[in-house]
Amino acid sequence: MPLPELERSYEWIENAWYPTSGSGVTDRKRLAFALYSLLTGWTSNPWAIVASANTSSAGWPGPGWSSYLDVDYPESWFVAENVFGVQLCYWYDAASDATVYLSPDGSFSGGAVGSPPLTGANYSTLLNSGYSYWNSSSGLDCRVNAIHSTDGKFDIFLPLRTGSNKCEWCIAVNKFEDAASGWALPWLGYCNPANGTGYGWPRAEDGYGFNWQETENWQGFKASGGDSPFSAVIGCDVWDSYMAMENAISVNEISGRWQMFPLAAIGNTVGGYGVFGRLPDVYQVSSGFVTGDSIELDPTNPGYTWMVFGNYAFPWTGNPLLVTAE
Amino acid sequence: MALPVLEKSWEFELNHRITYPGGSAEMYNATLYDWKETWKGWTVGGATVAGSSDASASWGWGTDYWTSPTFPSNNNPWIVLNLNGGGQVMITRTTTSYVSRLYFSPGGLFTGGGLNTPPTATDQRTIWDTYLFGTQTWAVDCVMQYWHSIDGDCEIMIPYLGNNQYGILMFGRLANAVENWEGGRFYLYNGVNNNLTYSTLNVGSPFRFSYGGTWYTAHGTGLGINRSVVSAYNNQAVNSFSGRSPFPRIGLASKDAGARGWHGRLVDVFWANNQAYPTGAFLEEDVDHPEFKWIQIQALALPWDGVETELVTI
Repeated sequence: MPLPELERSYEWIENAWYPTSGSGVTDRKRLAFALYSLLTGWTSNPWAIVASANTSSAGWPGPGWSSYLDVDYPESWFVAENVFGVQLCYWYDAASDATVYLSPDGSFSGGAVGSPPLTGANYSTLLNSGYSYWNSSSGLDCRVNAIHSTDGKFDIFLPLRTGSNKCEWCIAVNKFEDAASGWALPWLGYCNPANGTGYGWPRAEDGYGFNWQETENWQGFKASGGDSPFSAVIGCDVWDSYMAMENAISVNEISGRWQMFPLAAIGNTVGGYGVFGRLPDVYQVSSGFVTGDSIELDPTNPGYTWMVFGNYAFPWTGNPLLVTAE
Repeated sequence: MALPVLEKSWEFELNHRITYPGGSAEMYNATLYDWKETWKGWTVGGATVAGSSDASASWGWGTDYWTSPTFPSNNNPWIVLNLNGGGQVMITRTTTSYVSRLYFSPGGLFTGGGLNTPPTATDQRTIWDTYLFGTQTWAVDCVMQYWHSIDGDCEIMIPYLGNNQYGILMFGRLANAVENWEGGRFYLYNGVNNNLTYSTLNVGSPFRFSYGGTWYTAHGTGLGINRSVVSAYNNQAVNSFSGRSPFPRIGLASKDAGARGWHGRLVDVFWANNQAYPTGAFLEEDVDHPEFKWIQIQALALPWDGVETELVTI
């Protein structure tokens, strides 16, 4: 079982340092602006801001955000659109909250200061409550990591709380491959807060992880034109009463290779039952790994390695280091 | 997500009825004889007889002395079959009329033996040692279902007794077997009636394989989301998007120290949806391959020929 070959190529933001300001609201504004900036800053196929609201005005494309000072609750939101027309809407709606929406057919419209542009749109709500991310009252700093496929099909934003190996929260948007026929817009989004004790995908706190797939929902919708949003989870081969990683082994004892399990999208709600796509280039690993572990360099692709966040291995730069301490 | 395309070519002996001859011991013999004849008789890649004993007059290597189903049932008749996919199986009747034993030698090492003495192999593994498929009572008609891949790698046998399915015997070879495991051979045996369930095959560990001279247990894995394999969709008849029957693959994984990990997948046998379809249901036909169908037998989807129109169980 050789190391998997990458299907896509990537850009990264690694270990970007965000020391706490001492104010939870300010820290959240700064992370929101970091997300805004990262999405639009990629070299290849970045997202574009197509609509926005700051503290005083809104529109298409609107005023945009030039710094975190343009971000406040409940006024500020933005809509970013990728090169496939998929739109992501982020709304900082309350002091310790935020709401994130995904519209795979890019149908957001309208909107005003303090009111995101949901009029007539086909969208899924990735997250709408309890978004008290980066609880700075704990006085911990943060490092931001982000991964972007250069074809624009995958983005993940992974703020990592320094010193705890916890991903504070996570936003991911992905185009699934080998989609079931009938799934016209095979995009799913994911967003999860950590709030200190939660586990943003990818189950960032080490030592937990047998049942993440039961609880963490990706959201999408079946097709444009009014089908209801549905939830999905991602899964891999499982056996026995636990997950594939139950054995807490990092290496297959016969092959001597790293245990890396391909992931699929599995729908478990009405309108979206079944296995209907796979997630390229992200693998589940066993609980023998911990965040920050790097899996061996692939000699055939020396430009990257695999980096473990929680229970997953993501493609990573050739620099194997993930900084999890100050 | 189209129907899976068969990776192997198969021969079938389906709905193979063995009529109850009037005595349990005789029925037992008739079933063993039918099994042996079927495995020998495949058109391509069938088993050959390494040696045998009729326990009354003749025994020896290289000859099949089980020439009829009337051999003594309680004086240690035995037969060793060479499997085309590698290894040998030995069937014995022991000295008790309702007891049989099945052994497997992955190295094909059975040797010795005599008229009333089964041979032995240094690597032999006992698959069962009491009742044929776990049941003493073979006093009704039996319907056997046999599958054989013509490359000899896979043999599957599922018996039905009086409408009850008595487990499964499967010898197979994994696809995508991990490196360093030469062969990738395994067997699956379950002798509990009507028990081909996810729980039995996944939570349980009825699979066995030999690696480095040691036998390990293994679980049948499935693409799932939590501790209940495919539970999110196994009560759904079809994929909401494709409208197709789901065919999740079955992997093989072990958690026995020394061979832990996921080691490969079964070929042409899939998880089926036993909450949406009953045993005997034909899953979608592949319009490109009218010569075969897919049939559901409890939690498994198996290839089926294009001839037999139903799964006969009694």
